[in-house]
Amino acid sequence: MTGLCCCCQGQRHKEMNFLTPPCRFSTAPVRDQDQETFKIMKRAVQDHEILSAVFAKMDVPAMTVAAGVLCSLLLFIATATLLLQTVPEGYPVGPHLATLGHYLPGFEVTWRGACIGALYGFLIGAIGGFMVAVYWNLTHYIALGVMLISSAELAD
Amino acid sequence: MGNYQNMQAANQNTHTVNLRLLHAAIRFNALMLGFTAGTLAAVVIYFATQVSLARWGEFSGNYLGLLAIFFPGYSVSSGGAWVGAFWAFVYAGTISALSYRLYGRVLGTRISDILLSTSPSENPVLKPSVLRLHGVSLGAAIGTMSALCLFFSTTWLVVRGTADESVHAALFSNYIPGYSVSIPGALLGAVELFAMVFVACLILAGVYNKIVESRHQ
Repeated sequence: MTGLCCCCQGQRHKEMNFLTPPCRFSTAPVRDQDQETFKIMKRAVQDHEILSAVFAKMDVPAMTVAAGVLCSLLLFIATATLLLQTVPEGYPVGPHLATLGHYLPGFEVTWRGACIGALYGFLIGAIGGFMVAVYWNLTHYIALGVMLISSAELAD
Repeated sequence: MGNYQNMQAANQNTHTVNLRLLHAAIRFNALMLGFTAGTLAAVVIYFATQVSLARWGEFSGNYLGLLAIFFPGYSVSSGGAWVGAFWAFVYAGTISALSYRLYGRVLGTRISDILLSTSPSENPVLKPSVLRLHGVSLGAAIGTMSALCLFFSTTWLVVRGTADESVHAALFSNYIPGYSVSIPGALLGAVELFAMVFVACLILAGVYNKIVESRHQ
């Protein structure tokens, strides 16, 4: 990504991204955002920290609840958006979204249905979040196991 | 002068980062996420097709069958379920892997700041830390990929000449004001979708991080 250096009054002199340091020739005033970045960058990232980041495990209950909350909000907002729109008299409100009722008994495009949908959304999101977190951790354990076995064989 | 020293310190420290290891780490996790998301998407499409078949028999596939526009060879049938699973794996795997690559690139050297290490002295491999999410990076990555997906899928509908018949795609305008099945509509929709997904990711990361911190205090 090529961009303007924040400290050289717009000279396009180098490749800039989050992995490259700012220009060292400049004495231009530093913006708050840059200072924040420098604070983060001041501490050198050690190899073991990068390895920790690779093999860090996802917190299963946290991801379950977080995905549940997000899906719950999304389904509620999706239903509420349709309810708040004006529809000509006699026309059905949200006939396509209402077909979710085939899969989610009790769901319909009404305010009551939006609340029921929010509960279903939480359940679906929680299952999705749980599966993602468990599967993420599992693939890392498997990959780690394969690596350990390979390195043991190489050592032999 | 103080700023100059700050920058010099920053330069020296970022030069000590093992960028090869960092990039390898991002590639590894992108592969893992691609495999995870691809497999889950394949399972979802396979079972959705089978449930649809079991419930509605020959009348099934009114909406699910529309996936054939993007999944060549897909149909709501037993054989089609496998084709759908294959395409779902390819699409979800690729998009997720690219999302993680972007997430990693935006996160950069801050990768170690998203860790919640219960005991820093422990072996990072055998006693892993707990992962936290960086909302802004996550939003930027997933938002960009979502926006690109909307843009290219709409463009595909326009290119194949079925834009006027794409009544279901046009329903997005209920949620994305200004969206239409056209190139300008796709561009506007992509920008708005980016903003929506960005906010959604901030909420996801915020809730997740709060729970992680409270559980591991």
